[in-house]
Amino acid sequence: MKRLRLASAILLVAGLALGARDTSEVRVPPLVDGYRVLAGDFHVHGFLGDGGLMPWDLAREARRRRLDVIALTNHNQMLAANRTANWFPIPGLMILSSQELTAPRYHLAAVGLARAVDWRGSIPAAAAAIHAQGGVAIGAHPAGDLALAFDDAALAALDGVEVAHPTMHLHEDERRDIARIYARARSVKPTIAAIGSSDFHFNGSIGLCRTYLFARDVTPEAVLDAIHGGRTVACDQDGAVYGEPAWAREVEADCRLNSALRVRRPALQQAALACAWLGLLGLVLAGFPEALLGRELAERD
Amino acid sequence: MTPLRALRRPALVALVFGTVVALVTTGRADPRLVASTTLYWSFVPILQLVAAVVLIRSSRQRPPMAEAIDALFAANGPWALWLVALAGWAVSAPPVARPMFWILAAALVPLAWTPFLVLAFCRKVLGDPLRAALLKTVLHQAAMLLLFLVYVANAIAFAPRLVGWWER
Repeated sequence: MKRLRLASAILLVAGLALGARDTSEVRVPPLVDGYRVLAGDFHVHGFLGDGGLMPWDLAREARRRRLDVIALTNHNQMLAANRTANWFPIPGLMILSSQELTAPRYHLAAVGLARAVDWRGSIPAAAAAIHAQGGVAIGAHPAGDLALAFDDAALAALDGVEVAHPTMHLHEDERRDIARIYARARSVKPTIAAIGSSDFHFNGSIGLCRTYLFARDVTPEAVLDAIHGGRTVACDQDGAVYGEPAWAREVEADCRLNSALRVRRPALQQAALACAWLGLLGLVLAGFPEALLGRELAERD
Repeated sequence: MTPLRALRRPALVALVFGTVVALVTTGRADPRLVASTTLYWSFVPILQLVAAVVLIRSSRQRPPMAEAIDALFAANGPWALWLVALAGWAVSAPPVARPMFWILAAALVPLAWTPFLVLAFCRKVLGDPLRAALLKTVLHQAAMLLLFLVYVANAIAFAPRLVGWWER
């Protein structure tokens, strides 16, 4: 058992040592027609909510995934966003204090808030409360039962709507709902922002679906202004873009690149993962032999 | 057994949580990330330790605390194995949206297996008769499940969802 434990520990340490080398390139936001083209994910869950990572780890991962800005949107609370978002800032990555406003019949990504908005109210009332704090209101995954509340009055009150979301890659009916709501939103409010979000919790990856913003500056105010003004393009996990064709052409290549980068995992990273995983498996087998290897409870090495 | 040695398994549980969270969320084995996630996810074994102390103190035999903690933490084996399987599932493919039904359904195995290990602990280590051991096992597992459910309910904003389901 000691040998298994030692070998496993060595494998895990070797995996972590190999994994320490990060070859991912940091994205430099290009300048197009006087606008800085930022990449954002405005629907991200973190620890102290139903996500796995604290804000500083989310920020590092977001930077590695070529994002410039994320919104920390835990359900109806902003504990992590308000208390810990600025503990270990990562240069080049903005975290916007936000909330996933989780109401019985709809969800909104309320981005750029100081305090949580009450969930007992209609979409227009919630949007007004979000705007009163200087934030923007984005319709989150409007599909299935959560699409029903997005009538014309609701869509007119919103700044953006998610048109690229991981659920559309899993459920064809949800893809149809999301496309239908976005098309209707565009007819009700032509300047509504096309938003791509990962709704990241644990699996998948942050920035899986993302939003490109044409911002006047690299500040939270400029990010919110770009969403409010509809200067956005959504990008899904397959590299497809949604939004104004003229804006979309500018970011199409970057969107496809993100999709390709996710699929390609460098050999060194694969080796690191294999070592770490096998090491962890060995440590678990050696660490809990009573449960997993049928040893008696009182038996010792 | 020294008190420090009794923390060996709780520390392993923390390491398993930290490493699995790092692998699943990022698809990477980054030491800095693993150290960070291990630190804040260690609230899980800390809560388990509190529950363990309460359970062990409830015994008339009063076995040595360090050994008893170590023995009770052996019951983490099935969940630890499931977490490792979850990490394997997560890193076995590129990080794209894919259904999680089967890997989540597999959690039924540790959910069903763990009570038998806790029962064996109550019988062998605490020396409880069957009836008392069964009662303690049920209470211990219910407390763990309740803590988990409270955390999840708060994290997902359960109240408005409940209202939504009710209205439909």
